[in-house]
Amino acid sequence: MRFDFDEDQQSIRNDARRFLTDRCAMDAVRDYLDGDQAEVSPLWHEISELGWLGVAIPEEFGGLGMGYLELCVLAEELGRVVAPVPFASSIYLAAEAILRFGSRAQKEKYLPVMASGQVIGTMAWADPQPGGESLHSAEPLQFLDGHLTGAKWPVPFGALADIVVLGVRNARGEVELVLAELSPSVDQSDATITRSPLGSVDPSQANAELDFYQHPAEILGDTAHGDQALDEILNRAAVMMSFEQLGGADRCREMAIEHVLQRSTFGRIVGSYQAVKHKLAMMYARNELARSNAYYGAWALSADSVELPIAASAARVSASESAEFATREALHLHGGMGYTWEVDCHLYLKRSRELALRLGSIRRWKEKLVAATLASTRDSETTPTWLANS
Amino acid sequence: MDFSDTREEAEFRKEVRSWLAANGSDLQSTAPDDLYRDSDIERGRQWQRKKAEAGYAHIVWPREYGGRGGTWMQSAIFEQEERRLPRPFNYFSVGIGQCLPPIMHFGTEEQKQLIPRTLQGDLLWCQLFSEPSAGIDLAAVRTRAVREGDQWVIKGQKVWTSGAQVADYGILLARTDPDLPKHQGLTFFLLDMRLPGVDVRPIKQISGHSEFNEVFFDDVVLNDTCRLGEINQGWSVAMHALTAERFKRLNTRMPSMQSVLQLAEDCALEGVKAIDVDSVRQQLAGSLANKCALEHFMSRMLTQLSKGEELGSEASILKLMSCQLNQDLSAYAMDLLEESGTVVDAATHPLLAELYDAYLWTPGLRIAGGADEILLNIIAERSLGLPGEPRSDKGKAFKDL
Repeated sequence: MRFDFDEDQQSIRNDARRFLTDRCAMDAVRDYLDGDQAEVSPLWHEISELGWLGVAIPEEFGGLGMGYLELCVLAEELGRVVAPVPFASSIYLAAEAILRFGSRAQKEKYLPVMASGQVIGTMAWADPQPGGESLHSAEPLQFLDGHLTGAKWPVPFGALADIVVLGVRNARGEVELVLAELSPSVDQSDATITRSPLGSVDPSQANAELDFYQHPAEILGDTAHGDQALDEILNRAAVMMSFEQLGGADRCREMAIEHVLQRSTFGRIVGSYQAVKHKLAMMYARNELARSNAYYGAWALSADSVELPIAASAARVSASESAEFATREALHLHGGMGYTWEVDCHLYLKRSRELALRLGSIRRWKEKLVAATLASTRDSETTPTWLANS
Repeated sequence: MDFSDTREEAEFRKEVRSWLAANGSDLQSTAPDDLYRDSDIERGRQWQRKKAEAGYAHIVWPREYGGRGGTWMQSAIFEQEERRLPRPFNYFSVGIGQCLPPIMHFGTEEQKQLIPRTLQGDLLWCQLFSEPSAGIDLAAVRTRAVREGDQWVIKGQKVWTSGAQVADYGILLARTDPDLPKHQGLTFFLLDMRLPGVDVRPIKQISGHSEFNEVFFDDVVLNDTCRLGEINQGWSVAMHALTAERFKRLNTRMPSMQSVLQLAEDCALEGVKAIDVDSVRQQLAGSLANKCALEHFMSRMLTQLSKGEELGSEASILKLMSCQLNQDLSAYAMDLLEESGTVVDAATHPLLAELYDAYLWTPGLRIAGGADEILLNIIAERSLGLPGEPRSDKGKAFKDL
């Protein structure tokens, strides 16, 4: 057993951290928030050139063909700096969906340009919640005879993405995964798609609504079982996203420690008060447990294990909960300054809330964890070792 | 990132499995409500003897002292495989985990003769550290050891001593110089529990059982050959004993997660199976995520150890978070039974009895070996570099405190 990243992966981490410290300082994140979020951040082009987008995409489709452990390492580093890039939506979601379930032709067409960063993908899988019907169109999204009509929201990076993978319900109520190009809306007169920016919990991951009218699209691969495919895509994305969440949570802990060690009150260092020490110790303990589940998820992902649904759910639940705690309490420990725009805490708070919703809530993933665990215990052959031993 | 055994590990696991199949098939577990029955202890000794003969009693120690010269990973593999069997309570864990390591490190050759005798199941040990006024603040011990020629005379009282009623030897921390600051005037001894003047009195715990004891020393005379380490250097020997146990599962006494899931399958709430109730699933999912994380946290610790890295505050995190999980989960599992959860009857409802045992055991575990608040201090100071607590006793002679 070796339950850790190896030396090569550690060296990828060190290089990535050095690069991002230099190129994605917090001012860059604020600059992006102050600018036009319909444009991709310059950081996107820089990490594309470094090959990060294609780390887990096979060489035959223009990637580096390294693997998911390396992708998890990068995800954690991007999470540490709240990078304002469509990495999750383009890589963990859209590219993964195409790689796992696309046809050969779709893979050849899209993966190389996604790996190089020329084409930005996104994915919108959720059914709009009752009472939150479409803002611009009451019509639910339909896919008929190779064309999309209706609205889909929220679509992360929907204002700037070039292609989208959509979950659409067919007449039988089943999910179909549909792939559409989102051509630039140069001439509005005959456009079959309208993009409307929506407010977002984390504006650096800006949502949009997409309205289609007879817009050409195609089924992703030949996915007859769209529900299962979607489930697998979300499980895989949950593992990688748990590393992003963990990166943010750990960085918040470090920021809070730096702050309480340099502030004094009533003649004492703030970090010497036991209430403060204990809160930070608990933050560290919770992050370390979340890290342990994230590693389990990374292992399941890279080993193509049947335990993936359990590991992904456990990683997701722990990451969402520990990030919520760390980002909230780190802001609190910064005192009044933590409530200001200039101090970074709010960037992490908003990103953490955003990521905790993006693949579905903690409630949803807890349900998945129980369902997957119970299914695994019906046969001792499929019961994970950790559960059998505990 | 790999859980599978290396070729060497797989071979070792195979060897362990076939040895356990041949030697461990007729083992029985010890009833948690009465650990110290003679017949149970005898079965515990026999199992320890068998393990020692096969080289499994202390895998990472050298062969000349009864070990195997193996690795931490092999030790963990043996433990994993052994856990699959019903087996007697491990009466040797205090001895092997805490008492022998400082003897191995500081002991004379004569003292080290106790090591193989313990590994072979002949000697049971207890730890004579805590006192009525020295629990969390261990360096405040008052039990005196006064030098008289080649001998020491011990007078005082210890408390919370697990297994003292059956122990052959104890490791004793006593004050030898009250004029020195409190950490500097302590000396460490190996004490034969059958010497005249040693009086063991059981403590009745909240469960009604007596696993812990008070131990009184009324002018007990020890030869100087029983001293371990230098005079007034006892604190560092004691620290060695407390940190030696680098990788061991906590004795959490908690029913398995699978048995709690099964309970939720078996009981009904308002006519619906509990496991089908959404709020029950949400609650159990939280426990599952934590349990899963703790198990994988242990795998990370083991990986670090086997790479030769030192552990920091990991053991503190493990204890803190395991106790929290078990206290919550044992109470919640009892809740699933509604009013019938009040029934404790091991004969008809064994799982409920186990849950109740866990519920009553965990408050003690939260205090023993570092209370929650102390663990949080350790994590904050050791792993996060936050300042130590202000102390008013620093540098003062113990007698002036």
